[in-house]
Amino acid sequence: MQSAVLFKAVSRLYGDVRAVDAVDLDVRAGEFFAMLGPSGSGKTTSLRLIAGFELPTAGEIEIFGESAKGVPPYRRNVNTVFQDYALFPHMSVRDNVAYGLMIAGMGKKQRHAKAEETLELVRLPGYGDRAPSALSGGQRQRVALARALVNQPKVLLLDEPLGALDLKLREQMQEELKSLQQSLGITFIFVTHDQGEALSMADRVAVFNQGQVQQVGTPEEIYQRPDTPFVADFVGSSNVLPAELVRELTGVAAPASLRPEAIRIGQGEAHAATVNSLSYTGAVTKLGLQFRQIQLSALVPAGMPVPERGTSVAIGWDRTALHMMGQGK
Amino acid sequence: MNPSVTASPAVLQRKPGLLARFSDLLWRRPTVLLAVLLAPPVLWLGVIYLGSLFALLAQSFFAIDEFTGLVQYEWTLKTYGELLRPVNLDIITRTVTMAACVTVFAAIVAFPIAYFAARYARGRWKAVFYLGVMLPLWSSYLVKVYAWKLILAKEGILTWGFSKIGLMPLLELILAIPVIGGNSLSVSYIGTFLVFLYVWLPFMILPMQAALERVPVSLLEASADQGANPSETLRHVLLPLALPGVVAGSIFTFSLTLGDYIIPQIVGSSRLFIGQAVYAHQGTAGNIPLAAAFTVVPVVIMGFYLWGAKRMGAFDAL
Repeated sequence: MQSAVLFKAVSRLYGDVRAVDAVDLDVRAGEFFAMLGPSGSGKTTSLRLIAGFELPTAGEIEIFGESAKGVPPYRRNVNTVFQDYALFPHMSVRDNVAYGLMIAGMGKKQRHAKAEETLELVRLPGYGDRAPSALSGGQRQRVALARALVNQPKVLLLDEPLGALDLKLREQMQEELKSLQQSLGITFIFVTHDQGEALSMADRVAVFNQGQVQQVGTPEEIYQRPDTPFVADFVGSSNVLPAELVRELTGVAAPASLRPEAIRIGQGEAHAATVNSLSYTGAVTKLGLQFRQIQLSALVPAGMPVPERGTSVAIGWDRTALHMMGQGK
Repeated sequence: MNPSVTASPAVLQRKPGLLARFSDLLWRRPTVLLAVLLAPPVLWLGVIYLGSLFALLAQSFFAIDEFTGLVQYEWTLKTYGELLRPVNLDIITRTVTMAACVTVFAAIVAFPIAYFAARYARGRWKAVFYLGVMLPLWSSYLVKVYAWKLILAKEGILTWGFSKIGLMPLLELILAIPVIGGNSLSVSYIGTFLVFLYVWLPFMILPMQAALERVPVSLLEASADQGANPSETLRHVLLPLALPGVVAGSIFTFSLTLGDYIIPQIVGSSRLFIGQAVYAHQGTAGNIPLAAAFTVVPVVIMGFYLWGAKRMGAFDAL
């Protein structure tokens, strides 16, 4: 499959800080690709490198097979949806959406028609005359999306576009973005620190930490078979068992991940643990367990008996639930 | 019961005393606080400042008796008729043209400086910028103007510099331009213009910088992202958003030039500007009504200027 964006050992340094540190990436044409990581992990800088707002200190970026070396943002057929939307406050919604077309020299009538068409696509028909300041956060987000899509970019970059929306709106936009991407067939590259968002939307996910890519894979791969303790912990807060403990349990000296939902609680299980915290979250109750020298978290689905704090319980898991990892970077 | 709880102080701590009660009152009634804070400036602006402005306006509708030289307190438009005589119109045209030139050039010179300060200067460089812009304002205006007279004089450093680098013919060519040229820079309109430009430049830079600083970087990036090259971004995004700052700065440079009477007196040809005319009429000539009428001119011009700027949408982004 063709690469939409290819990173070859790309680094971006700010003085001594390695914001992006020798990253190799291969984003395939037409896929929904998520860059996931905590703040300061290099995911946004990577996005800005693709857009051309930053230039790599070392390494090379190819966009659809062409080297992007020295190409300014305004000569790249990629468009960005900014985190703060970056709508032009002195222009109407229509002029915002038609901005790229105006710059490209399209006539007024034609570009206004195209802008209206794109506003319909993001379900804001007839909003063209309004000022951006008269819109809600969710509507501004859609205008920003329309402004990026109207240029029919080869790659659409989204920098935490849903971060400022409330939960309900965010979930709705997640679905809309996903179906939009599937119907348009444009490569979406999506930056987020929300692992749930990344897992539910993306075809593939790259997990960033400290300027490096820890793992690239499908959401299932990332979730079920994390490569490193960081990925296990960050993507859905898995329990990470240190190598020492894993050797005692299985004889293999390697750190392992154990998903909270894989831990069974009840009589007849093999190991003893003490309940030292409980937190009720609705669908499940999260248990904090003291198991030998480490803390484990486990989940009790609603409706099941919840043990009391301070009591000791028997816990167990399937052998296959224990996923061995490398030491990680 | 836990003894430490009973020993703790009351939850609601009432405090006796007049001052405490007064501050409580201000907290409960913010309008009282507002009234206390606003009364002095409102008195100052409303009564003393606007009051004298209206007194001035009233003066311009009186006229002096040509034989006795005394002001006759009867409503008349005679003074305005006098204002519109060619010699006085000349003064007005000269002053307005100068103010417009100074404003346009100040905007052009100030923009890159303000842009650098808003976008790139951080920490120490920001301090250097503010110091560099403000420092000239700390020294006496008269000192600066006389310094410029020396710089621009025929024997001054500028002429000397031009001759040292062999550009004397260029300087002579500039001075040979009719009307704005002259014997030397210090007695030409070019000289007056240069001094005005120098003296009022900080008043253009500072509001411009404030306006540019409020333009988020992401808007410039969004423009580039949409395919606009830097000059298109300047035209379509940066300038429209900086316009309130430019207008604010131009109000300063324009009105300050309109009203100044010292610079054209020290540097330039001996032809009068509005400020000098006011000075002369209210002083030696004793024609207070005409001086008042001259003073009304900049007020009216600024009124039209602001009205035009508002219609252009200069304040929409505020």
